Amino acid sequence: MSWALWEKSLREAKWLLVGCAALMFAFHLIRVWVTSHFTMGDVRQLLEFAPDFVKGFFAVPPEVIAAPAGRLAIGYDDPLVVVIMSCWAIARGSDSVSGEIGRGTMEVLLAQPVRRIDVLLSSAVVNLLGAATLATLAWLGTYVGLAFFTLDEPVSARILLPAALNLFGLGAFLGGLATMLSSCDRYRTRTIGIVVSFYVVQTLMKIVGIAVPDFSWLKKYTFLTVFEPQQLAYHFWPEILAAEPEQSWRLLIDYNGLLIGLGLVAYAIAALVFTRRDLPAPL
Amino acid sequence: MFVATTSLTKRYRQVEALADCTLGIERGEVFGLLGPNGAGKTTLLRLLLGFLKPTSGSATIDTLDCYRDSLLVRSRVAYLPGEARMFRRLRGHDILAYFARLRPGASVRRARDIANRLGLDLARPVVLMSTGMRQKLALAVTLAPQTPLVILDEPTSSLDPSMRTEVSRLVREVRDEGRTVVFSSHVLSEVEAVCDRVAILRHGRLVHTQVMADLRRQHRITGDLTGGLEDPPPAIREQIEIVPPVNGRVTIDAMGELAPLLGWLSTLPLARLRIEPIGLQAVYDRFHLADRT
Repeated sequence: MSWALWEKSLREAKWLLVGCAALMFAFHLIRVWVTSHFTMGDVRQLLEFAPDFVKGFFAVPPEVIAAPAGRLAIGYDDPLVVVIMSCWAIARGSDSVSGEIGRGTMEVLLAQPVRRIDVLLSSAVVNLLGAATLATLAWLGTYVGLAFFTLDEPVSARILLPAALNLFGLGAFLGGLATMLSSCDRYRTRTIGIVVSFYVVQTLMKIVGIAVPDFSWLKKYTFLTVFEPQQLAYHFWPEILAAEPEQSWRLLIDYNGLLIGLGLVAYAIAALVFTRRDLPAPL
Repeated sequence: MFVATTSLTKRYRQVEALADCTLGIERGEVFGLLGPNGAGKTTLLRLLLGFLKPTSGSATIDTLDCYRDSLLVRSRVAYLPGEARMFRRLRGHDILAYFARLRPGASVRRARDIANRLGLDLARPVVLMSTGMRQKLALAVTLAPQTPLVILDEPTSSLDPSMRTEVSRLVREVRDEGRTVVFSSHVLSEVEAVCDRVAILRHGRLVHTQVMADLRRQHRITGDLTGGLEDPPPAIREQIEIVPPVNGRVTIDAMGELAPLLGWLSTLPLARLRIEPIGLQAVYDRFHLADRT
């Protein structure tokens, strides 16, 4: 594959990646600082007032959330963090085929002796590397924060690595999904619309599945069931890992394997579709 | 044949974009494609590049199947799309360098020379270039590699007249290097000036192929009849076609050398005599006038 294709993908992604990475790092750094202002007792008191149906949404027991490590782990599931990762994955994934077709640049690119699979691969690898960078910077933000700010209980940043990996899994899955839909489409806006709609429906399925016991089966059909950074971090607390090592590792592999695996399958389908489809004229 | 299509057909659901197209292009030929919008010109070009999968039939370039061997085909072809759009954030010289890297053996220097001939400011970012400047940039990208086949789809759209002349000159230079050119355009005078042979498409079908050398030897003679029109002498009868007079005005289409006809013409009772080359417009109108009226 030509290095020029890699460079192009990197160049196009550069500023979005820089922006998302800075936000991700800053958010987790600030989160440690904010966490340092509360004690376990403060949070426990706050959680006691939460209604039962709200407690149903906690992926881990309330006392785990109250602990400093638990409070930091929530940061990996925070809406802002999810939005940053989703923005990266959907923006880049949707651009890979339908974005290029819409802009007319796919036409001039494929007029050169380059393979379609190489065009897609360069974009997919940059998307995955970007998601890995964002997850790493999220964890680094926590790590640096822990080095600078003192919490009421010492926390090792290492226990948050599974949460960061789960965040990467989210990026890998959404990036793969967006790339797959982009490979069948010619309008980037439509691709984005479909992915976002899918995401919203999946979120609603998870909420309904948790809130309404009769509909708990819905949780089986949403990928967000395996996006549980708090739960993964909790299972890697030293005492939990020591007590149930098999279950902890099984959970890590199952959750992240499913997200990353589904993402890779979506990339493979995208490659299959894109290498066989007609290339429409630009609009 | 260097480029050959056999019963090439592309259908989109109910729409037949190209139907049963069989043609051949010799190596070193400049081959024109003519037809109104939607006639199937761009579909044919996209099929040649392997962008589209044929519904039926086949296309080959240098004996390679255009769809199955698309990568090898594209290493032999330089293609200028109808509306070439470049990466907007890059500057002109970055674009030339980028495309030179994508094509082994391509020369940035040659691309720069062509851009200079077209009067293009390469320091300007693409996003700040006018449509004409972007077209010049795309032309420099397309004409720089020494590929055996160059496909140009509307190469002079959005260019001013002097640049159109320069593009025609560049196309002739490509032919003089022994390379083949497929030239699609709506500008008949341009096609007439550079092409050796022209195919006319109508509603997705190839309706006529015209050898330009033959066309250049054809003339149309018109005049007002002032008396009875006598039959032509047997020696030139095969060479002419007399269209029945309309409102006293007679039209005679003459093929081949004009000199043997002049003696006979001087004997005819004609006023306001005009002799002009038939030109591509007349051939084109033969197939497309009905669509316009």
